[in-house]
Amino acid sequence: MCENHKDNKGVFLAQVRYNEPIGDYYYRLSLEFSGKGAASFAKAKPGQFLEIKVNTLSTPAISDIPEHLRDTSRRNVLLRRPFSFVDIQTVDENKTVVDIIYLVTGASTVRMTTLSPQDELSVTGPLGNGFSIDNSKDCVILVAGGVGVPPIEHVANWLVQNRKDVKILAFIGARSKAHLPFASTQRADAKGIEELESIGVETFVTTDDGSFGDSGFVTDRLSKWLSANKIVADKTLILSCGPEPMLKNLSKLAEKSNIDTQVSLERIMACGIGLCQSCAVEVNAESKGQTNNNTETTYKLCCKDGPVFNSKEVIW
Amino acid sequence: MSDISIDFLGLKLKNPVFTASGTCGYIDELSDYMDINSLGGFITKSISIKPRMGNKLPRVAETSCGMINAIGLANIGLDRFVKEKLPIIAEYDVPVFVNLAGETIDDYVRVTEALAEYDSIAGFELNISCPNVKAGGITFGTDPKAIEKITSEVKKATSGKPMIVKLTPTVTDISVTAQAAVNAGADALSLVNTFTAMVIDIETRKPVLANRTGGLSGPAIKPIAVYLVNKVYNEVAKPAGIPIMGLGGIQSASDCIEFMIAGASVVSVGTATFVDPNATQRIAEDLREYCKRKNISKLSSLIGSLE
Ligand SMILES: Cc1cc2nc3c(=O)[nH]c(=O)nc-3n(C[C@H](O)[C@H](O)[C@H](O)COP(=O)(O)OP(=O)(O)OC[C@H]3O[C@@H](n4cnc5c(N)ncnc54)[C@H](O)[C@@H]3O)c2cc1C
Ligand SMILES: Cc1cc2nc3c(=O)[nH]c(=O)nc-3n(C[C@H](O)[C@H](O)[C@H](O)COP(=O)(O)O)c2cc1C
Ligand code: FES
Repeated sequence: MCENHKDNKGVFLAQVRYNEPIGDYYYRLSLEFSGKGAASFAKAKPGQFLEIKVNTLSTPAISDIPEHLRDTSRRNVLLRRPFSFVDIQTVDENKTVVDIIYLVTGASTVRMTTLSPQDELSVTGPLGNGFSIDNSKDCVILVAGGVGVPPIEHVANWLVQNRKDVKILAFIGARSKAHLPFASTQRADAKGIEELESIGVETFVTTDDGSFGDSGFVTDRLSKWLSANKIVADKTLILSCGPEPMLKNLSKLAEKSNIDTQVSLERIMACGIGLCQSCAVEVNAESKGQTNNNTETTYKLCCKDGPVFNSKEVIW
Repeated sequence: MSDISIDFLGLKLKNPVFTASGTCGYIDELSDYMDINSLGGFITKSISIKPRMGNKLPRVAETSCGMINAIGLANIGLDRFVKEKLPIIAEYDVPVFVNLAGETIDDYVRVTEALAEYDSIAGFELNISCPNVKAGGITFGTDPKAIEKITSEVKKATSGKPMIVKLTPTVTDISVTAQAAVNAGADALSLVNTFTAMVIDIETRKPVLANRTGGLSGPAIKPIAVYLVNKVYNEVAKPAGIPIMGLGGIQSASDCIEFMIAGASVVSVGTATFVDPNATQRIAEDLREYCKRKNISKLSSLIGSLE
């Protein structure tokens, strides 16, 4: 795994460009960085993340909070919150635009919905290590579930721009049509995921309830595809992000098919920058974690050593 | 120009602000975010004789104005600390105190002996107040007899380097435990460590932390910590002529000043660094601003100045 680039990260002020809902559950927040922040985020890679300071944000009017979150969002928030990038655009030397997509799920994401253009936000980043795609691979299979989609959409665009030689496939799953975090699939007449298909990524969609794409789990869809199609396992790479049970199944499937797989994991993070040890990920001892104790397993830090891990090193 | 330097344990500190153990790594983890040399002092994560993996997850949960943690003293252990971190510590121009943890007195003594010979280490902080480990930690810190024993044993191993004893607030009368530490040779007292606390998931009716309980830190505990610092200052530290390091929920220069008025000579900052990685440096800078605005020529004149 590559080292953190020392002088690249920091705490920067970002200006909100826009903050708009995608359907009932998600928002897309677009941030503009200038100066050092622009330079740092221009170098950020898909799979890395940022931390937003949320404790200074105001709470929306109670009627603007989804009903099921009204009670729990009354509590105060303190700690920053981690989010992956969905897109990074370098406009010029002094201007980088970073977009995230967030699920409105609790006290701080509810507060984030109040952000409007021109607002300033304190952002730490870019953090962690992103996906790494070595040159021996000519086929990349992207697998994402629900709120795990943003970094996968980001890496899809990155691959299209930077690795024209690779074939890209995407397997996207969600609970229902409304839980797909894409603007295109929110439309009633949506046929597919335009964000991916328009850049030439062959895309397969599943929803748990069958409201869009095939009914069922995304890993089952991938498994079916792998049995029906011939691939050269050691020239193929799977990159994935989503709920842990999905990643666990995927990791088993990948092992059976002998395909290198990277998973982006989530942990509750108190600091996001390697100070607190709250985000431990149990890994095989040979992968040299933070606290190697001559035991068979050890811990790495999701925020610093991850969030992207090789699926084989993770103890599921 | 106001003087915010502080004399503490024979050291001339640039300012009274330290990092709190367990919230700022071993030394250079925050170097991307702040100038480590701008600190009054640095306190490392707890070091134990063997590496510790720490507790099962979840290890933290946020609460209103605070957080609870049960990290379980996860750390790289003495050998790796000496090999990997000491050379980096030597490059910094800041007094570094190593926070000590262990399961037995012998563990503490061995870590202390091994580190006492290094010039790059200014002193030690004896952690007998971690609420999140089964053996050691807080079990030493609640019984005055046990405190006296461990304090005097470890003190012998410091080769004359100063030793701060870090107290838990989870006792009936903190002056009793503070007095025990002072009787046994503590050079300074730091208080408070976290308060034992619990967060329950009301859907599952289970504690959120795998350890069931954790230690509460952050702004939520500040007024209690200020009270305890003042109590220990009046009842123990002032009569004995021993300085206090105050901590618990400090986020700003005003918080720091509140602790100093209550009786703290220096302060440390923990949870606030998670929110603002450069919190310690900012607080030190804001202290200078405060003194200028208020025409305070010497910050140390505020120590114990509660009316
Ligand atoms: C590396 C990383 C990248 C992430 N990227 C994204 C992203 O691109 N888009 C997005 O919507 N979310 C992302 N998350 C999850 C996001 O950080 C949490 O949903 C958010 O912190 C919830 O904050 P809240 O205050 O609204 O909810 P809270 O009130 O804190 O919690 C609501 C629910 O969310 C869960 N939760 C809280 N924090 C986390 C966390 N860090 N990880 C997982 N679950 C959590 C809680 O257990 C609870 O069930 C990412 C998390 C990590 C670790
Ligand atoms: C995540 C976390 C880890 C901690 N680890 C240690 C530790 O290893 N040793 C120790 O003496 N105190 C430890 N503490 C306690 C802090 O040093 C401090 O006493 C406490 O958090 C109160 O200060 P604060 O409110 O500024 O955080 C830890 C606190 C937190 C939040
Ligand atoms: S979140 Fe603090 S170490 Fe990873």
